[in-house]
Amino acid sequence: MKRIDSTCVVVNLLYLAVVALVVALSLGFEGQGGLVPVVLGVPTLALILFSLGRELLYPSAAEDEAAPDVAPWSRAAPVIAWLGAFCVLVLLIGFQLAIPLYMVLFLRWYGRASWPRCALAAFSVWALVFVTLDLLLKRSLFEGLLFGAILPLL
Amino acid sequence: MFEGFGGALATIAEPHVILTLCAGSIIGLVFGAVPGLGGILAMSMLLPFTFTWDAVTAVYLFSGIMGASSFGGSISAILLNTPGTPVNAATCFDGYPMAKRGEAARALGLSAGACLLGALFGLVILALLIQVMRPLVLAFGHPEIFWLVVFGLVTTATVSQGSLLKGLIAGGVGILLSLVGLNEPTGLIRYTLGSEYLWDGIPLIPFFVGLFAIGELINYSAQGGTIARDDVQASIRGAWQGVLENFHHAVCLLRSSSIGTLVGIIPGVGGETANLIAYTVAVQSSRDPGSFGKGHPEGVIASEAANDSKDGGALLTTLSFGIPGSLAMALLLSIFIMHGISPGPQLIVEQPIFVWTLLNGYVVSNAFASIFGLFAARYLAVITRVPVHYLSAVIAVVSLAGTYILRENVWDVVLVVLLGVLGFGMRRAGVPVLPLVIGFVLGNLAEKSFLLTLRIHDGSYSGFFDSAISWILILTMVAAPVAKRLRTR
Repeated sequence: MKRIDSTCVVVNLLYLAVVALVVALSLGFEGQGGLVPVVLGVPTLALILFSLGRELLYPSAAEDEAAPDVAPWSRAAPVIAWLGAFCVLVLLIGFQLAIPLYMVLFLRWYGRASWPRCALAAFSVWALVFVTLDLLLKRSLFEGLLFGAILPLL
Repeated sequence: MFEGFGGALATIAEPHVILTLCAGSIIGLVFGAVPGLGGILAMSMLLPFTFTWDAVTAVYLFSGIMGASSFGGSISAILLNTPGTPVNAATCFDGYPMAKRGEAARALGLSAGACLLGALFGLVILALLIQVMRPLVLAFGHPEIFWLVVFGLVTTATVSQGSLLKGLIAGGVGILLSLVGLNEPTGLIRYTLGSEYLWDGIPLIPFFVGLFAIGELINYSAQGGTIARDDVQASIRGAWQGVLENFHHAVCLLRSSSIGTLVGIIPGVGGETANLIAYTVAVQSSRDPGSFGKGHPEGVIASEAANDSKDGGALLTTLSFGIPGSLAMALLLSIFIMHGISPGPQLIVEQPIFVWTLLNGYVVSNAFASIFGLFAARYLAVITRVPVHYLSAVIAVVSLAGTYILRENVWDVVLVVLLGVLGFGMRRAGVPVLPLVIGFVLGNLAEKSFLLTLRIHDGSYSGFFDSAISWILILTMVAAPVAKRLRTR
């Protein structure tokens, strides 16, 4: 017997929340503002409920199409955590410092690369981003809340 | 029309023009290959620098960027399963499986050949039709554009991996997500939940980078190892074999180029649709549709030929009527205007040399990018043998920094990561990502054409079923899932 695909259920529940919210809000719009979202949202909602019901009640009837070449959540979780950490670093200390720091930490602890390789990769990528975006394109990279917003106030 | 050809050809031999074209091609190739950047970004950033240039040189630079960025985008689509630009989305489906089989050079060769031949096809059609295409453009009114969008969505859901049901749901959700923010026809601000960040809607580039680049990055980082599981065949011979293989699939090449040109002609539909429709048709027309998505060469040819031929079609409406067929054309139009050139029917009559300059530049830059790609394929293919941890670190940093600089909004970075997790979850659940993206890209156009059709017909729905084009699209759309069902049985 086929087991319930929890990821599929979660994705469907997420869809359900988004579409239900859109339809509910659309009913309050005046004129034609809510017409297309309702016309499209209601059938989409019905399809999601059908898909969800089939997955939960008759999992063996649901087509077994989970891609075989996709890593399990248990192995993806650390990668997602590293990406989250990079976001936090960017928010706190900005791109200029977050990029080399993330590269070294990620490659050393997750990629198990040697220190010299980590340093070389970190410097190369930092230089690429800095030269391309900052020097050539004259775009200022985010300085981080600490260096761009909080420290200058002190 | 052809009287300006000789004059334009003479300008291309000048050293500064060759230099400008080469520079434009390299910039287009690099910006196209980096996910999150793209040719449009390169053009918009360089626009102010060309203000003092003469119009012809500026046009050579921009046609160089435009011609090369599409092939650049296919490089990352094939090697990393990350489309460098949105128009390369369909190239991933078969290009990446080929790279995983160790046939990266062959796939790059296929792409290089299809890009060049597709571009040539589009421009030949442009040269032939430029004087007589007015009725075709005018035949596509709001109802036809609406059905074209729905057609694109349903057929994409049909051919995407995963069930039709999941594809249709994803397409519907994609359209609804595109409606977040200010709605131009009604002036309403919708579904922002009080957040100012969402007033302009969910930004397109972070949406793409998150779902495709970061979603895939999570997957291959978690799997470890290298992208190519088998030995990499990265010889110049392999790439050249890929180029020549285009001629073995001449029917697919011509059909996809025709689709690309036609989609390019229709204003506002945009390049993102051309490669997907061409890919869909290639799958449906194939005797072995099951092999698509697993590294079928026609998958790469269909996508890339349509990509590059669509510019010929888009140039047709841009040059003839001043109606930009895509975002890139809108930018090109602003370059014309900045240099005091008014697009429209008179442009072809009064400035044929200028028109041919643009077309020559486009062809030469495509050829340059393809030749470069051919010789560089063996070096580019080595990327598939680099440990994925290095690739994932580099892609994460460059994609997120590239996404940030577009709007200089740090919350775009957070959005990209969140969408990346969603993209990975969708892959894990076997839910196709593509219909979601297509729905998102075309959602606003669908709503706008739907409302305008109703308005023009005084609220009556009969307007959607008035024309033969509408019926052709509806019937083909209904036939696609039925045909898939029958084939599956």
